[in-house]
Amino acid sequence: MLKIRDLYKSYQVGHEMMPILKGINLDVEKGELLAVTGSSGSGKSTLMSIMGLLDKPTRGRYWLDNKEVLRCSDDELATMRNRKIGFVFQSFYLLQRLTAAENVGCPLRYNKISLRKIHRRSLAMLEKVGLADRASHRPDELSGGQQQRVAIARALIGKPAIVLADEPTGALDSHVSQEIMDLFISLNQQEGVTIIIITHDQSIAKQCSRVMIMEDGVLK
Amino acid sequence: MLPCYDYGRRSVEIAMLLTYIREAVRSLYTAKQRTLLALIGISIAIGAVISLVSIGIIWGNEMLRKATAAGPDILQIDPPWNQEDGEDITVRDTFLLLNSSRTLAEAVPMISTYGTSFFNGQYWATYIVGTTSSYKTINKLRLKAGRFISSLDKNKYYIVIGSEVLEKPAFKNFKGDLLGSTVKINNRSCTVVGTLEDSTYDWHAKYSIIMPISTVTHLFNEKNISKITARMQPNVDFRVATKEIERYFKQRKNIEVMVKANEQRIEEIKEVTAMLTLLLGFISSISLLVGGVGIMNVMLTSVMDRRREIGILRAIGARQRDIRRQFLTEAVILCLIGGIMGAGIGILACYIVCSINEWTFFIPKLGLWLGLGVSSLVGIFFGFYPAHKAAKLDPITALRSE
Ligand SMILES: Nc1ncnc2c1ncn2[C@@H]1O[C@H](COP(=O)(O)OP(=O)(O)O)[C@@H](O)[C@H]1O
Ligand SMILES: [Mg+2]
Repeated sequence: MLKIRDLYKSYQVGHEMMPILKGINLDVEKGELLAVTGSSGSGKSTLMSIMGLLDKPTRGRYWLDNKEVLRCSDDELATMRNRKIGFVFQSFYLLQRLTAAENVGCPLRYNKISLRKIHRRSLAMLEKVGLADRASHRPDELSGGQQQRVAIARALIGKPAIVLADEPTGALDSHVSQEIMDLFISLNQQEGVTIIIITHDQSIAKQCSRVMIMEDGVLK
Repeated sequence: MLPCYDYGRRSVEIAMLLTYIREAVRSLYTAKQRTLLALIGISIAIGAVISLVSIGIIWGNEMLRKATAAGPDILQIDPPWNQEDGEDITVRDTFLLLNSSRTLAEAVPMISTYGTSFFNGQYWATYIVGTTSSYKTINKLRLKAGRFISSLDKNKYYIVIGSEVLEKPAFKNFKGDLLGSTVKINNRSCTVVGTLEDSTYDWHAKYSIIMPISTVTHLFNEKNISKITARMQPNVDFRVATKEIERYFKQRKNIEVMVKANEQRIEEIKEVTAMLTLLLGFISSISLLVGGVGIMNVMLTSVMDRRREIGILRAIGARQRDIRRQFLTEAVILCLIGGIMGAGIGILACYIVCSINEWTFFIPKLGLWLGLGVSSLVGIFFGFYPAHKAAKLDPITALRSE
């Protein structure tokens, strides 16, 4: 499903190259619920943006769905993000101008699907995350937990091969965090969605089927 | 809520465009102040283009209308200003010309001179026109009262008074019937038989007192023709007629007359107004540059402010061209709204100019299409760089930016 070999990433700070990822190796099977933990600044988000095809590694190899992705063109990467990856971010990243349903349907716009179909699928997805009655609300009319549910619905609407969640509960209180975690677990168990959750919340991490720790630029 | 149109698979592109347009309108509405500022700039610029081009077209039409009203088939034949070798042209020559010509249907001689008038206790210097009865029809004069001079008036002291002459205090202050009154011209008593209405294009009829040509000849001892007004037969090319007349006077009298065809004037007016309209359009496009730079500025700010949004869209699968199209749509819509507002401003400005100059107001289609076409072009041109910049943003940098 996902395979990473000897992946390095350095950032240029001033005149120096600052290594962040120093030889990442990772295999994720279909249907896994993987947690990646590690101290702040250890490079978890950096790894996620590379896995999510938003950023490129300095060197290394990466296969997603049996496809070597690092040699793809920008358009191909965009299409893969659209079809194969669903993102969930710490601060939701919803578009404030759009309603919940429109936010959820957003990825399908780049898919040549009719507006009616997009709308129908958005509503179905919202129902799945328990927000059917909030379809026409805008993000600022929703609570943090509700916004994150909308974001999860948006991540899932394109039936992605993998969902990447970067500190999805980081901005939520513990009660709401658990609700979101329950949603991830049920999606993973009932629908078989492959999910990688980045978190430094141990209570979240230990509910996952596998936990990896980022330390000194490598995953353990 | 999303409107639930079903476009079917082949119209998905249209649906996509509609989505872009709706998004664009929404985000323009969100940034009201910025949008308004850009709109002011672009609408004034487009307004300038539309009004100046329209004014050019309307002015041209006005000139053309005057020239055509005088009759496109009319020729003016002027003797040379100072003839040394040749002979003068007389009334007889006019009739000989008409008889021998294969292109002319009518030729009316006219002697223009000036004399002293006395009426209602006042003396003044006045222009005199001596001509025949046909002068009225060929110059499309209209009578205010009485009649024009006729062929039966030969050598009679009958006069017709031009519209501007009637504005003289001597006539303005005169109470009673002007027809039948006596005006003294060079101390000869002349009877008023008619007065003229304002004629927009014949200068002579407007500012002169008109008498039979024979009367002028002996009263002023002037037998040289000042001008011949001729009308061509139907379907005659003015160039052929001009050649024929020039040759006639060269052979018979060894003089070089100047022939001016109204049709030629019409062609010249068309050329001049086309040039003028082009020039006005060109000058006003400079203001478009300013408006366009305003659009670019607003769009660049918009791109900077919406980096996060761009990052999100890129993360969920927007390609560079999708982002570019979205921002381009926004710029074009901004310009089109500006264009429509500008059309309003332009039409209003044009209307005001027309009513001040007493021109016939109409909305030239060219001006309108030009304005709207140009505004979308401005949107595409000045929106392209910001849209390109938005598309080229690095997804992760855009997403992380605040
Ligand atoms: N664009 C960048 N340029 C330079 N340094 C960066 C950049 N992005 C991240 N970093 C640095 O890389 C390190 C890892 O960041 P990050 O992956 O966000 O860590 P985490 O998500 O584990 O907290 C941090 O020290 C951060 O300052
Ligand atoms: Mg992080």
